[in-house]
Amino acid sequence: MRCILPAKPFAQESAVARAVSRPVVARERAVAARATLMECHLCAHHCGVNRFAGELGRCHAGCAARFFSAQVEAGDELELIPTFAIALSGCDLRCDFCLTGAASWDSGIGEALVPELLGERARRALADGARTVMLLGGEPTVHLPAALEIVAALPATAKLVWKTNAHGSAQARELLDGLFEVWLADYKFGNDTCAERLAGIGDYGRIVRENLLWANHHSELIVRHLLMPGHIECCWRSAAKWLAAQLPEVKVSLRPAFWPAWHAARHSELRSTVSADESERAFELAGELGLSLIQ
Amino acid sequence: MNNKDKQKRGRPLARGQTGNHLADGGDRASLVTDLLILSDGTVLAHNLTPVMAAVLHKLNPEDETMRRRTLTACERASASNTDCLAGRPAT
Repeated sequence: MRCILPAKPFAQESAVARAVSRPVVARERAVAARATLMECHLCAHHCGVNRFAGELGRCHAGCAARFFSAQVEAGDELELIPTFAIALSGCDLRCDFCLTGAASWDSGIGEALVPELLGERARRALADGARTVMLLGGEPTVHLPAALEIVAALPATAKLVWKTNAHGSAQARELLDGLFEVWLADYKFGNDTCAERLAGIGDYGRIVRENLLWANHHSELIVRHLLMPGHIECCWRSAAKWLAAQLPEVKVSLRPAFWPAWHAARHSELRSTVSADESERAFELAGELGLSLIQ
Repeated sequence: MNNKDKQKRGRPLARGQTGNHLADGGDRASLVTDLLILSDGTVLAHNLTPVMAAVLHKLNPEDETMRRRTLTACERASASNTDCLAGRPAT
């Protein structure tokens, strides 16, 4: 596949996106975002590789994006569904329990992404009643240029959701600023030890918290936590306490439907689903801390 | 779509063929929901489409989560989507 270098170098976008036409801003930022692939710092790994030259960073993504799913879904938060969900292949994390591990760990899986065609499908879904359009992955941040090109192909009035692992860089956040009405962000691990062991990622807590605070300031934020068996105390309690202290008004989506997918069996505690007792305890804790749970 | 996909997903539907769900904005044959059915009968769903939400709701009408998802999806469906509306749960 041929990668085309952008015509102009990265330029800082200073205009507030909502003040002008979102598709126009998205198109301009897509050009800027594509230029960053020459020295990629889109996620917090800061690999600095030249993706145009075929160099691979932690996500192993090249400069061409693919998608492995694009359909109307009803499994997300009630206030967002039905959503036309576009899942881009590839991710910068390596969560052993990933539900879409094959496509999330391999950015080469799926169909070639043509923003205009996806935009047209999204328009038809919106016309038929979809409430939102959601960009997700994998992790869409690693394909930020393509994600912005999709935004450019969407109606300016569409309600857009950025579903992210909250491991993006400051540079990525600047490029995204003001373009999505809702950030649906994962807070997966309550401590760095579990993040390192289950997803091979360091300094997780600092990075995800930085992203959550930024997202809460710049858009509507929904924080999602997938309960994992055996991780109620070490992960959920810690994350919940931080949310209660730092983002007490934020909407929290607690998801109990963990299933042992992908390489979960590498970890003995992840070989089962979340028990009813664990689930009950997790929701009780959310209530004790006064979190604003949504379904 | 490669052969592997065809085998996995079955016979593609003809373009324009009606279904009992909110349109996907594209080829309906590409719609996928993953289900995990546990030994106690619990059903976990991933990439839940509106039609699968309706199916699961019919399997267990007492499940409040699926009832609300089905209701929400169908309320948003276009008026012409009569199958979806016919399958909506009681309010």
